[in-house]
Amino acid sequence: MLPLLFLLPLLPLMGFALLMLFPRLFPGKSGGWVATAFIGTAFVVAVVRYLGQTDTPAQETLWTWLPNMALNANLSVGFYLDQLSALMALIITGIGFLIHLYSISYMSHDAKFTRFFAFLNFFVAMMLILVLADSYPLMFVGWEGVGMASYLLIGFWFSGRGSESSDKDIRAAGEREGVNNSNAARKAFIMNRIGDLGFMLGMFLLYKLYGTLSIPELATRVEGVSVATAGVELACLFLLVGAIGKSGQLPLTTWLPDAMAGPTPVSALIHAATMVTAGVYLITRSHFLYELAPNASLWVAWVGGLTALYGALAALNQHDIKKILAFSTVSQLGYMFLAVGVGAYSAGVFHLLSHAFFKALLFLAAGAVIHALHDEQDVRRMGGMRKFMPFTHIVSGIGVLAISGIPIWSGFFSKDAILAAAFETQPALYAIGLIVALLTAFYMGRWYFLVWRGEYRGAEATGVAHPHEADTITKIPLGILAAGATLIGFLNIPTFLGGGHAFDTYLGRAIPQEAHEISASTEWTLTVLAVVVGVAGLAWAYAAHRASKLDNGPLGQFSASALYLDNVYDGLVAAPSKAIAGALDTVDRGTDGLIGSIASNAAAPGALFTMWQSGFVRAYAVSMLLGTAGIIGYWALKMVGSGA
Amino acid sequence: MFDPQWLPTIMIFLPLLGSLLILVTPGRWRDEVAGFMAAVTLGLGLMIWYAGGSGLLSLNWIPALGITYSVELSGVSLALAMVTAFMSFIAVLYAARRIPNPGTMLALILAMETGLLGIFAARDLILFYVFFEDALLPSLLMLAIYGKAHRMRALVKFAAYTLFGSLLMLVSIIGVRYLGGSPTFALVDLKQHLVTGPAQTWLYIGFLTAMAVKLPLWPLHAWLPDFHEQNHDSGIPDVMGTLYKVGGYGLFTFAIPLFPDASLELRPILMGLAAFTALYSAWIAFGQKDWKRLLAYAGLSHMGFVALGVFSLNETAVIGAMYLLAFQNLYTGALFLSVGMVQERIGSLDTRVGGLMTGAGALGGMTMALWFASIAVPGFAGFIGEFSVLLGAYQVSPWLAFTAGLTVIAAAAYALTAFQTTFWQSRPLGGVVVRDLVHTEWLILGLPLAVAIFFGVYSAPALNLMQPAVKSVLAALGGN
Repeated sequence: MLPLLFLLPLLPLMGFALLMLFPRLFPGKSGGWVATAFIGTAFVVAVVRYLGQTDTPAQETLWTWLPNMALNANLSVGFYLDQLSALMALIITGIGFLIHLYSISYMSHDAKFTRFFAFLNFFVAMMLILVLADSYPLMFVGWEGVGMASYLLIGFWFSGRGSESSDKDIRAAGEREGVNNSNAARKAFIMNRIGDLGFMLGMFLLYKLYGTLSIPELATRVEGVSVATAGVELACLFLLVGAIGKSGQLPLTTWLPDAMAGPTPVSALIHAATMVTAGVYLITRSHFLYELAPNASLWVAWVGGLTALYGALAALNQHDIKKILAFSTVSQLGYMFLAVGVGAYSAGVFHLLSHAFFKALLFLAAGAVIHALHDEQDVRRMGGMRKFMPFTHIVSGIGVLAISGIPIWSGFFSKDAILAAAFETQPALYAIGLIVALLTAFYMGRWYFLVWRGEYRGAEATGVAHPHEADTITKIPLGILAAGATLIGFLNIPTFLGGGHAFDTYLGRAIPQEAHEISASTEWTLTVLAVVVGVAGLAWAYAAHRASKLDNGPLGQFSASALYLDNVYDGLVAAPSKAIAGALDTVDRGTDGLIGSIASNAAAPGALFTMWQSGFVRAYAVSMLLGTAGIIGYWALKMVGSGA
Repeated sequence: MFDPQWLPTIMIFLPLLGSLLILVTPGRWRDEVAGFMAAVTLGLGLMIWYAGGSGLLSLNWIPALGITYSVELSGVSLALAMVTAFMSFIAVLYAARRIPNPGTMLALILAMETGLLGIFAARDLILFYVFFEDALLPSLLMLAIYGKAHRMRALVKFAAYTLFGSLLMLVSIIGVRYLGGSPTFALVDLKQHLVTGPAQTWLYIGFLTAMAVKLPLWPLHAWLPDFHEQNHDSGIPDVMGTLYKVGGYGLFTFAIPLFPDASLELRPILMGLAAFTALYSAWIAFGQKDWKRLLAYAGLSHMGFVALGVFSLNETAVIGAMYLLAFQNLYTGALFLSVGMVQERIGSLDTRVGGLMTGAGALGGMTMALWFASIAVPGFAGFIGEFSVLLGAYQVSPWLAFTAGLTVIAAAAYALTAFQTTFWQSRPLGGVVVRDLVHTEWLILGLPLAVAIFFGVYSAPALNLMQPAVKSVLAALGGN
């Protein structure tokens, strides 16, 4: 007897309810342990369901929910487990568990410790609903739910950490931090809502075309019912808008770097490993539609390719230890979009998996450094940390090697698969992907050398003369993630390297596989090229490090301001919207005045009407009453008279 | 147990009885009497629900004029009546806590509840008109007695708009019967004797104007922001005012069955107007600096959705519209009360205070959750309504659904901006540390929130009421 699927989201949801409603029951750090235990249990459920999986997907329906939105019936709440959702559930609960554990140490000094874990549990619950949903509207519940969780957690320090301080300078800094954090949270939610509108329109159109929003029903209907290709293409483009919003792709990308305002475990879990990959999941889940829509798929690939380039360029000259990683996330998500856009769903999801490990690892390592330096985030004030934090240094190095695509680490395998798939279908995108690989290795090398190598430069600025190595609770997740980032790649060794594509085969039971058409020799060439590029990027960073020129990366302000995208949006969207809102308000008060003045002008002729416009309600009421009575009386007389 | 036929009548007039009773009750017992009456009324609603609807009770009232006393609570009307009874109870709770010497306010709340329940129960057009006007008096009195400095201006505007609409409605009502040749004003009879041709269109427009004032719909909405801004700081009259937005219900119950051809004929124009109202008011809300005006425009935007759903005549959209109409009362009403609580603590309704949440975490958290409900985040009841409306409207007119859909973005902008500048960020230097929720305040915000979540997750009880009712009304259109 397998545990039921609804337990997966229910367990963390119970944790959320418990910690929210009865925070006083959990003194000290007990709230964190309870929350972690709930996620751990959910992970066990996910593992049991994974092991008990058969080739037929499991579908478990609960209760009716939305009117008329299934085929000739009301839509029900139901969960669906196939190879894709089982894998996602494992990633979410597994990585989620490690990050919960890490947070017990990381957040231990925070006044709202228990609240933080309530929100984290809420996030995991919503993310599980998102991946397990058997219909688009239910997926949308998780979709906006994770957006809400992300809003709450980005704005976790909504008033700034020092704003209640009695020291004037600390207070002023706290106030600024409060405004920044709040703005970042709001921006994330609003930009996500733009994407959500796209997602909703996609659902509306799908319903119009196929008469249902249940995913398994749609998958069968798509084969049986023939509709105009233009309709499917448009629906796929709508869904793409949704995916773009959630995954921080161009042009809705600027919220993701800002989201780093949240606590570091949040950045690791939500804004790197899980939530932002929801867009990739959505497109993979809708593969049966995208297969009918070649143009929309091409759009997906190009959005991904350009975003990968954008993120890499913007990461070159950042100075915040987390911002570098944030732009890197944007860029890596671009890779995943590229993959699913060219039809290499399995490669995209595989990169999603390996990225979840190495990016969570990098963020958590960055968090350990930030803690050790008492909330210092500027890489120019770091350096030489390997002497103080040897363990964290090693795991960070593993993360850098993984993301740079150096063999045997996981990023090598997953990135290679994407580049090979791009080479087959879109050579231009392959070229972009290769350039991005070079830039990635460089900026991650820069990150590594600035933080860990050279001399410690921050003793004065941070006031920390001897930073301390992280504690044991922090080290356990780091160690496990580092092991994962190293070994995960071996799940999917390609044929030309003598492997059996184990991961592709597993996922292939749910998601169709792209046919491999390139020869082994070409594949060798591509692989060697990718590795050379990765090594070259790291060497470039090392050379710049030796010349002490790493403080400022290439491209100067252009990269540091993230290609000025934020400024463009502020000028083109934010400011005009505000102005229009003000103008409309004036107009609205004006309509009112206009109608009012028409009324008084109309009443002007004749003293009788002037008196009537006395402005006293009782006068209005009386005249209305008299008038009404008059009319009723008239009709009454008329009807009585006619004998009706 | 006696015949459920009589339950609606008891439910309608019980609050009025309570209202009169309060006038003769000693001051110290008034809260209890009002609370008891409101609770019993809600209980009656639950009884009717349990009995599966009341069935129609029809008596001759003024035979000479063909006016009947026909009442029924079932389907959509029962759902709306129960929400009304529930929110009136919440309003009574907060009035008892917030307003010193609340006798008058309590009496007015209960008197208004009678009018509102009557509107939902009436199955005779003249009776509907009577209750429609009857609910107006207490709301005018609340504004006149408890309003702020510029209340007379707001009051005149409100009364003028409403009475102007009512007059047109009355003319239409009489016209419907006279031109159609029905023996009475009862809905069942009128449905058998429909007016046809251009006359139907004109009568529809007359009826529509009254309902457009009460929806409200652009450009007949100008009374609404002033009405809310000038009403008492506590937000109690605003809760009742929100409940009084019965236009969508009137259109659904009376206009679609009585003017089927005209509804189809005018559908594109009216849907356009509704979509415009939704987006326009959400955008204006974004620029508001006063919480009450902001909530007024937010509510107006919801009404645009309701209207879009009703006018589209698509089954899913109409169900969504009724769902939204019923449940928006919960969170819009509760938001007005939470704003009242903020005003009680800091003495201001301005949206740029900052840092309230550092002191009042629960008040901030509840307000945030209510805002999320209001901007139709899935999991709350509002989502089922808005999503169904938009999905249904998209089937009829994709572009208008898209226009209205833009509201989703604007709503996030106005809600989160106002919330942030009031509750988040840091407390201004020298600002007071505010008290968090106390005593019944927890219930006053918590109960509506809980109900909104319940019906957002588990919609079957409400859907079972609404879906058959909507199906039967739309069946009159000849299979849409």
